[in-house]
Amino acid sequence: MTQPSRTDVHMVFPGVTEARLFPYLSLPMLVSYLRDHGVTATQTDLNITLTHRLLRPDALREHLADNDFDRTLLSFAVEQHELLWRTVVEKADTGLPFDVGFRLVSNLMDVMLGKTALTPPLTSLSGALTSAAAPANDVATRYHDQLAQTVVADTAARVLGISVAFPSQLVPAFRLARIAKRVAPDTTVVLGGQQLMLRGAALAAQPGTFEYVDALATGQGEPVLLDLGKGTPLHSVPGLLTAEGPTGGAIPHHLSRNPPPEFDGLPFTSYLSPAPQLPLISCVGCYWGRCTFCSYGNRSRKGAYQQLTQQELADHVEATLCTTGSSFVAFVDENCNLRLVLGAVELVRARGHAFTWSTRNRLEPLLTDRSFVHRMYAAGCRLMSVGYETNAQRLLDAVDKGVRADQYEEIVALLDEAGIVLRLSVMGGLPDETEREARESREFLIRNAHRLGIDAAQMMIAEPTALLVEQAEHQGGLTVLGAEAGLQSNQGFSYLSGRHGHIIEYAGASREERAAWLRETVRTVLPGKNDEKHPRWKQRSATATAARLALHPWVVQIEDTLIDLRWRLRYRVRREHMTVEPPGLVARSELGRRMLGLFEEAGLGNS
Amino acid sequence: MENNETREDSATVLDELESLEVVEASELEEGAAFHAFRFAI
Repeated sequence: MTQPSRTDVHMVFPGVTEARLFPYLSLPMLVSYLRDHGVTATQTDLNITLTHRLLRPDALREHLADNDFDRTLLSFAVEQHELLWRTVVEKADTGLPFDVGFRLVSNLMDVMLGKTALTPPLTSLSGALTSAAAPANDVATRYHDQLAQTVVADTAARVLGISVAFPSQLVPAFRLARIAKRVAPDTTVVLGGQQLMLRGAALAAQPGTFEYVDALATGQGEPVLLDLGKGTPLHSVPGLLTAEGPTGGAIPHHLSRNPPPEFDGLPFTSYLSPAPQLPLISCVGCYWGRCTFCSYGNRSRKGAYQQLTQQELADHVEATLCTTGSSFVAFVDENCNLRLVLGAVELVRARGHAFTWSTRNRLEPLLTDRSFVHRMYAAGCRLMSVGYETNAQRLLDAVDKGVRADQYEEIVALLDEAGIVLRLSVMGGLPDETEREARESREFLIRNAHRLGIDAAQMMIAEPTALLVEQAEHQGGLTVLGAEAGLQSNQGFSYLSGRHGHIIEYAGASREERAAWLRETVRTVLPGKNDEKHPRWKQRSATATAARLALHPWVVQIEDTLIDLRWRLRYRVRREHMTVEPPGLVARSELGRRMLGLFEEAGLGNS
Repeated sequence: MENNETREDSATVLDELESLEVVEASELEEGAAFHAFRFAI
């Protein structure tokens, strides 16, 4: 009897990140490239698999909540499991609004994954390695470890490639590697991805790294995995860091050699966006490549920037629209070349494919061209994600952003006029920014709030490889400490603290004061283009009143408290003004009617 | 939603609920930026 042949390469996207809306693209790109070159390759998104597993009632029941909110949310989720699953995972029309279901699932994942062995605060790289060996004393980690073991055992691949995109994945990635070495000791385990491009050398220098993994890949994964997949001995594969040292310079690879990505093996329709989204890239790196705070930029300016031709990109779009059945493409470039993307999209539409799409780019001069912006809309562009640091030209020039602040207002208005939703990621903590400049930057957002949405607010992080870190000439107004001082992150602003980098010490106002300026921006800017609005962002109606209010199912009354499981807010039932009459509240005074009117505006129920 | 006024000109729903003492204050500050903005879909 012959043994079934082993898969050459199995790729895993590890937990734990918020990247649950659509597949992370590195895996489908690498898998298709390897298959195209005769290497058998499969893939698992352990992050979404774990999310799905933790949503099941048995896991929810096992979690021991340590506060009222968590306990109430978990009870609700156990009782309403079917409703949540069908709404958010299966996208069924259940009567529960998708955005509410999505928010509840996100909150559940916070509860299930907070304070676990998978998600310790990351203050140093050595700490990440130590944490990866922590015992599985919590529900999420136990399920994670079971899933990891199953993936390793079932795929029985000769090479396990782990793609680490975000800092919060470092501990789970090393944990997975450790499990792989225990379950299948002869598997070659390689870590790669963005975090290894940023921190590969630093990780290789940590004692213990190579007890978990065989090698770190710090460049593009295609040539490395192809060699390993074909059976080349580890130490003969260029572009790796191993326990014995570097294996030599990586073999150059160009994006144009990648066939269209292949998504089979991933639960493409069960990610958590309202409808399946197809991620694609048109380029590697950033054609501008000069922003001093950006780690991608510096790498791109060393001649590493690559892009597809319009024809190549059009072929990728067309092929993947057909294989996935998606009707929305998310161009997830670091900085889309808008002319290239638009040209490719127009080619695909001319071939008879209708779809909408989103971009990531800067507010660049091209977007003051009204006809171009309207052409983008006509070709299906509906969403544009942009980084916003400041509207002070002095500061934009200091970080070499390469855009003109005096065009911002015109661009924002044009996008709004055309119907393309602008979503900003707002960054605070720019070098040398004064409090007055921070206020004026905020006032720009307040003036234009009705025309924009906000995806994130975060402080600038000095990530390894950014110009800000590597060249002293870009360190005006601040001091960047060495790696030995530890890691600085975005705790309180980003999921699992977001980006991590060198500690920054500012001249003038401290980082905490600058973070307070950013929090003030969060507090005072009410973005009109976010699909769902936190009660903090809703302007009150001066006249709203209600005699009675039927509470939504996700608002739970416990004695004199209403717990809004969606927005994690707690309200008091003031008995002198209202009474509880299930399924809701009845006003007992004029002020009570006003309170119920405001409760309705806050999304607690219907009058 | 037309929204080109500052909060000094026009309060939000949560502002008035806070002034009526029906919002638990401890909920308001911790991670507000994170919970309000995250995962805009």
